[in-house]
Amino acid sequence: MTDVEVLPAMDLAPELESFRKNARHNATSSVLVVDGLPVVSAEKADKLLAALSKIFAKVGQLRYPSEDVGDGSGAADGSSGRPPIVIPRDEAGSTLGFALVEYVDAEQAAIAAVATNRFQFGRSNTFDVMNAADVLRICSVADEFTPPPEPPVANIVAEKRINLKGWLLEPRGREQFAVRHGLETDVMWHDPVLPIEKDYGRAHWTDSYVVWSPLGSYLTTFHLQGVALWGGTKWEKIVRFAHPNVKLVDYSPNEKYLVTYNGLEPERDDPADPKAVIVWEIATGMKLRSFVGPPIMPDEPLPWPLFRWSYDDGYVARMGKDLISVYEMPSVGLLDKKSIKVPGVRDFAWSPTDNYLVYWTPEHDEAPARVCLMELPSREELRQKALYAVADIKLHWQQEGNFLCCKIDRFTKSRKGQFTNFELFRVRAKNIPIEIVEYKEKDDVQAFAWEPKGVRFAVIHRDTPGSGSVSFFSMEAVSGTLKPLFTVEGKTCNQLHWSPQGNFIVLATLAAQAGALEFYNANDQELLGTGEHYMCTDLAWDPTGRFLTSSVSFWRNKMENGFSIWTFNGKELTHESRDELYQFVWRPRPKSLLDAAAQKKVKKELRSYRDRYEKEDDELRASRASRKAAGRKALRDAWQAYLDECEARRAEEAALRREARGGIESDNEDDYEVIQEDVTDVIDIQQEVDTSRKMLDSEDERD
Amino acid sequence: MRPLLLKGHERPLTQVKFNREGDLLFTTAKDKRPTLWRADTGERLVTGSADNSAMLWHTESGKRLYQWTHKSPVRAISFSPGDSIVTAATAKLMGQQAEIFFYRHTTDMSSVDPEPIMKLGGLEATATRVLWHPTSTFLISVGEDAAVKKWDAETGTLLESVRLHKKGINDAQWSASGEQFVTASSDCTAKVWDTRSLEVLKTFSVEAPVNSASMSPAADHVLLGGGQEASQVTTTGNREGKFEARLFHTVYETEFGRVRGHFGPINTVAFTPDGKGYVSGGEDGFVRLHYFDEVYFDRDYN
Repeated sequence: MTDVEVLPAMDLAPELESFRKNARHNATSSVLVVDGLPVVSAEKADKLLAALSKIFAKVGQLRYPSEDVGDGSGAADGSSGRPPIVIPRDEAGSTLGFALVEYVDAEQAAIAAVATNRFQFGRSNTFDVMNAADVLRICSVADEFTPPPEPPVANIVAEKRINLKGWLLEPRGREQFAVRHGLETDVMWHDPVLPIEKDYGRAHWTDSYVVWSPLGSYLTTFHLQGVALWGGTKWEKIVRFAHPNVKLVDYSPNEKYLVTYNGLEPERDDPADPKAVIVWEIATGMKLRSFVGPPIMPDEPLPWPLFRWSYDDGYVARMGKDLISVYEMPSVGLLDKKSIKVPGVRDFAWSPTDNYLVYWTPEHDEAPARVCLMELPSREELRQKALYAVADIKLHWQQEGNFLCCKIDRFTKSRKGQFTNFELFRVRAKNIPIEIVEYKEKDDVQAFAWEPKGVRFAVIHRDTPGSGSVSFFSMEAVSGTLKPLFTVEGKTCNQLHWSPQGNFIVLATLAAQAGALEFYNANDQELLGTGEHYMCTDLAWDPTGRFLTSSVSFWRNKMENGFSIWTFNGKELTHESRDELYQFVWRPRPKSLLDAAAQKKVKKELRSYRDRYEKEDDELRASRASRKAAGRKALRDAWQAYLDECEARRAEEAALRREARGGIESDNEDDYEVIQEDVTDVIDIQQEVDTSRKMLDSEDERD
Repeated sequence: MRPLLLKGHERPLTQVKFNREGDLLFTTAKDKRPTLWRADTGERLVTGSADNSAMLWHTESGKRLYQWTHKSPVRAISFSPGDSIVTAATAKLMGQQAEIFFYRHTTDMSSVDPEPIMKLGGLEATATRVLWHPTSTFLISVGEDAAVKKWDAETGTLLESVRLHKKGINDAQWSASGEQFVTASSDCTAKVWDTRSLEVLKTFSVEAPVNSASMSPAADHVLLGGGQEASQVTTTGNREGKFEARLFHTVYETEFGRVRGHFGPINTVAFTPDGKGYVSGGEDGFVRLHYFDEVYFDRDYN
């Protein structure tokens, strides 16, 4: 072999090597640059050339001069006279250590490059083969670095996301509500000054009814194949959940999860892959877990929701026979892998603000009935109460989770009658004390309601049929003493509806042929207003507590279906008839984004807000009135012009009219003669003899 | 306003009408006894009895002058302006076609033609009201086929037929001038029409079939009377006197007043000729005569 001078082969860094490896794939020239050759003197150069020729001819078709390769790849500058392999030399004639090898085309060159790269040439030389195009490209890189231009920002993400809370940005802060009537479902805006306005709606939007999610983000519609969730300002379909024959849904409080139920009896379901109850994750649309449904009792209504959520969507619990199963989210795995054993459990309820569960069990053998408050996940029993002679217990949590009320229906000693007690738990006070309000057997307790955002509650009780009382109590504070406040007597009401903001309450008398509403201020014990909505069946406050809707639902009354919207103090703002009205539901609002300090600040500055909004409302009313007035004037003027035309035409026909009446002029209404006639009707003739007068006698003067 | 309650009929009222001066009120009901009342006091003057024929009465004496018999019930009667012709509209019932018969009589009743001088055929359904135009040149008939028809009074040809109501028309009444008339229909609307062009000028909508409508001679008001048929009500409204006569502003087509009191649907209404009150007759057999309070006249309806 050639006698080569020892020159260390270029020690390429691995990065550079990989770059070159990649570069070879992008090569476009038919010329290769072979580096790493020994530097030899002029005498040895020919031998080097011959050696290279042998190697490179073997791996591809070299481009020989005057060879017509026939594929049009001839060099444009007519370089057919050039030998395929050229070894550049310096002035002295020694080689420079690299060579140029030309193949017939770029493909051949590429193959050859791969084949010959890193070829060991003698003891101390390794070929470093690159495509000439790459070398030129690398050499043409500028010395000064200029940063590349910014790529265009992809807009797709922002555009495609639907703003589920877009409706809250409505400039007048209007409330929304959904009305389901006939085949139609409408979502409407409500405003105290403007008439109600339709936002969106259509027939057959849902097959049965609609449900709002708890924070108002979604409207749920029901279909044969499952449920669909709609939202955004354009009412687009957000997500679908396939659950054939779905009947009921329930949302978790923070709208993370949804439970659907299709009424399938447990006997017909498959425990390995149940179809009755499914728990879904809303954001992903994924099915988390499914469960077998409860046994269907023919005469009992299904207790829904079946799965009850803890306040922050962390747990979901279900009552079974003698147990309560608590599942952790999002895995829907049984907490601690076992249910809570509660023999005979009848009902349970989560606290609305903490991971507390309350449940009760009836009497069994010698053991008394029990109400138990338990903390999760520790399962620590925080408080218990044993009770005897219990017929039924209803659990009522106060909205802030500060208090729990157990309405206990108890048997009298003789077991023939019943009376009601309220056991009030102060959940956040030390040792959770319990206070009791007792009613006698003759007191028929009809309703109980906690004041939202407050410490009060109201009770309707009746000791004589027809005349009831509404009693108000206060818990005073988280730790305090139960205090009776006042009682309003002589009421016929049977329902209590506190405003969602507290302070105001509507006492409603709803019956088959009645519909009386009393708007009360619980702070001042003042009756603010009364209203009547004949045959009203349902009442609903809007989430802000500004408006109350009374509606007549088709389910209970086939006539007079429609709704009225009242202000909180009893002024009727609007009344709308809707045939076959099935539902009227206000859209819930999410929790305020303002923290407590910010809310306090707003309350302090309430006057300035109020003045501003009243001014806006007044201006809106005035502009509508003036527009209305202008419209009415236009109508009046048009009508008058029409009447004048008619009068003109009529005047022309006077002759015809006279003729029709046989020549008698009859047009002038006032042209008649008034003849006064006095009619004397003899009603009665009476003759009276005056016995006091003396008979005439001869002594009287008579002349 | 406290109405005068006139209880003279045992059966539902079919029509009420004032005389020209407004001091006499005529009422007819299904009890076959047309009754004449003194409008200011409600005193009854004359009663009579009839069956489904057209009868001519003398108002002052209450004597029945003549009776034309037909083959089917007579639904509507009217005099021509000169009182020389009586038109009787018969019902499409008992196998008979609906027709309108014209009978001539002299004003002094010395001669009455037993045979009709003209018959209007070609009505697809019973005419419920026939109105003579004051010029006596044409008649307007309205019927159960929801159509308003204009007929030539001389030749009896149908000049025009317009169907803009969706259900049968129960009543039609002239405005004071005769340039407009109002129709009351079971499609829960009443419409004001221009007499010459038969164009609908105004429409008033309510929630129940309208049985009768009247235009005030003194103001741009229209009175509607109606109500749900008793047989169609599944829950009888026990509320006393729930059925209402409703007052609308003609120009704005908006309701501005309601008068409750009838225990059954209102079948017939009429303004007094001076526009100071109105009379309504109901399914309950009562005739209610109302005179408006000052508020009605003083109020600015604009």
